[in-house]
Amino acid sequence: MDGNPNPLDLNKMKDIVRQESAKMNLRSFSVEGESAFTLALALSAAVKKIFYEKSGTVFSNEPKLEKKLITQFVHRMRVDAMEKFNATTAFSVVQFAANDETLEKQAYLITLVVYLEQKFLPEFLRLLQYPYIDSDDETEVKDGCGTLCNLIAGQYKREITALGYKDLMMSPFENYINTAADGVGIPNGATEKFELSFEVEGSKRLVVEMMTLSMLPKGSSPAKTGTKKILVIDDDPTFVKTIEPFLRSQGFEVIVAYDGREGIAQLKEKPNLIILDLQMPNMDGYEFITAMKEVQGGKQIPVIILTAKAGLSDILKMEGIREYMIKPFQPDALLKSIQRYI
Amino acid sequence: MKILVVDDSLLDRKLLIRVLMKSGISQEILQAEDGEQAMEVLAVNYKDIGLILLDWQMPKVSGIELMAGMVKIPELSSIPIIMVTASGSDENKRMARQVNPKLAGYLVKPYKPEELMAAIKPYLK
Repeated sequence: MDGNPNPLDLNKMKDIVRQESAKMNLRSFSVEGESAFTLALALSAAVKKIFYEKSGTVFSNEPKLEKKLITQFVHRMRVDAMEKFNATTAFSVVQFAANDETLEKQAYLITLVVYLEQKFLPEFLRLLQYPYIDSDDETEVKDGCGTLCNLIAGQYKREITALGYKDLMMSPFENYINTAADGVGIPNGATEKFELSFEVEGSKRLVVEMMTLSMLPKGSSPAKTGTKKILVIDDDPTFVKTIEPFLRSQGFEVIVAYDGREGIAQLKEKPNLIILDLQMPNMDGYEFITAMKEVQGGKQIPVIILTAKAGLSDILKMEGIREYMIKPFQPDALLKSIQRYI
Repeated sequence: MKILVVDDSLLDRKLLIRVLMKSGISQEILQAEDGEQAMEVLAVNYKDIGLILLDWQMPKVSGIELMAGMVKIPELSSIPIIMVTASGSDENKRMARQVNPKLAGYLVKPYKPEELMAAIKPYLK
C-alpha cells in the first residue's frame, strides 16, 4: 500500500514550521553568480513571490490559468507592443520596471516576464545551451513556468556580452521600496515592504538581492481620512483587486460594482465619490452617468473617470465628471484627486 | 525508498526528474510545488521518503522554512535534504547549514547532471 497508515498531524507540522520560520530572519534571499542566469533565476523567484503576495494566487503551472492571468495583465497594462520585443527592448523594459517603485510598474514587470518567458523559451533553450535539455518534448518547452530565468538569462547573456557592460546598475537598492501606499494587500494581514535590486559589477558578475522586510516602520501607516465611501465601478477584477486594497489602505471604505447596473444599485450605500470605468458590459460608464442623475442624491456625487482609453477629455464637459484619468493609475495622483473632492 | 522533489517551477522539476531517470535510478519520485504541499506529502509518506531535493524560494512556505520546521520534528529530522537553489551566495549557504546542520548538500542552479547525481548518490538506497 502506498503511504503510511499513521500519517503525521499536518496541522501540528504546519504550526512547527510557522514557529520555526518566525524565529529566524528568513526574509532575505541573496543571489550571486558569475552569469546572468543567476540574475534571471532570482528575478523569476522574486516575480513569483510578488505575484503571490499581490494576488494571493500561486503562480500556477496550469497552462490555462496562466494564460488567463497573462491575458488579464497584458490587457490591463496595454503592453501589446511587447509583441515586437527583441533582446534589446526586453532588456530596457526590465531595467525600466526594476527602477520604478510603483505597483503598476511591478505588474508591468510581472507581465513582461511572464509573457517573454512563454514567448522566448525555446529560443532561450538554444541560447543558453542548457546542458541537459535535449528537449524533444514539446509540452516541456511550452510549460515554461518558472523559467523566465532561462529566457532572460539568454537575453541578458547576449546583451551583456555583446555590449560589454562594465558598470550596469539596474536599481540602487534604496530606490526600490514599496510601501503600503502602493495598495498591495498582503494575504496574512501583515504589512510588508518589498525590496529588490539588481546590479552588475564589472562585466562578468551579477548580484541580485531581494529582501522582504517584515514590517513597515511606524509612521508610514496610511493617513486617516475618516470613513468616506468610494464606489469603484469597473468590470476588470484584476484592476479592482489592485485599487480596492489601495483605497482601503488610505482609510476609505470601498464599495465595488462590476458594471454600471450594479453601480446604480450600490448608490443606495451613499458613496462620497465614484471611480468609474467607461467600457463595461450591461451598462457602460456613459449610461451610468446618465442613469445616476435619476437616482436621488446621485447628481451631487463627484465622479472620477479612470479608464484605459486615452483621448476622451471631452468627457469632462459632462455634468458631475470631475477628473479623467488614464490607467494604469498612479497612486499618488489618484489620491490627490480624491482628496480634492472629499 | 522514495525521493521527494520540491520546487514550484514545473520545468525545474521536470529537468531534475529527467536527470534522475536518465541516470537510471529506480526510486519512486514524489513531487510538491511548495513547502506547504511538501508537508502534505511528508505527513503521509515520511517513512518511505529517503531524500528530499528542495528549492529555496517558493510561494506559501519556502524551502528554508520547511527545513527549519522539519529539523524540529523527530519523525522528519533525519530525512536527508539537498537544497537545489538559484542562490549560491555564501550567506545563503551559511543560513541553510545553520538551519540544518545535517544538510546533505547544496546545489546551485543551473547544476550539471553529474553534480546532481554525485550529490544524491550517497543517499540512494
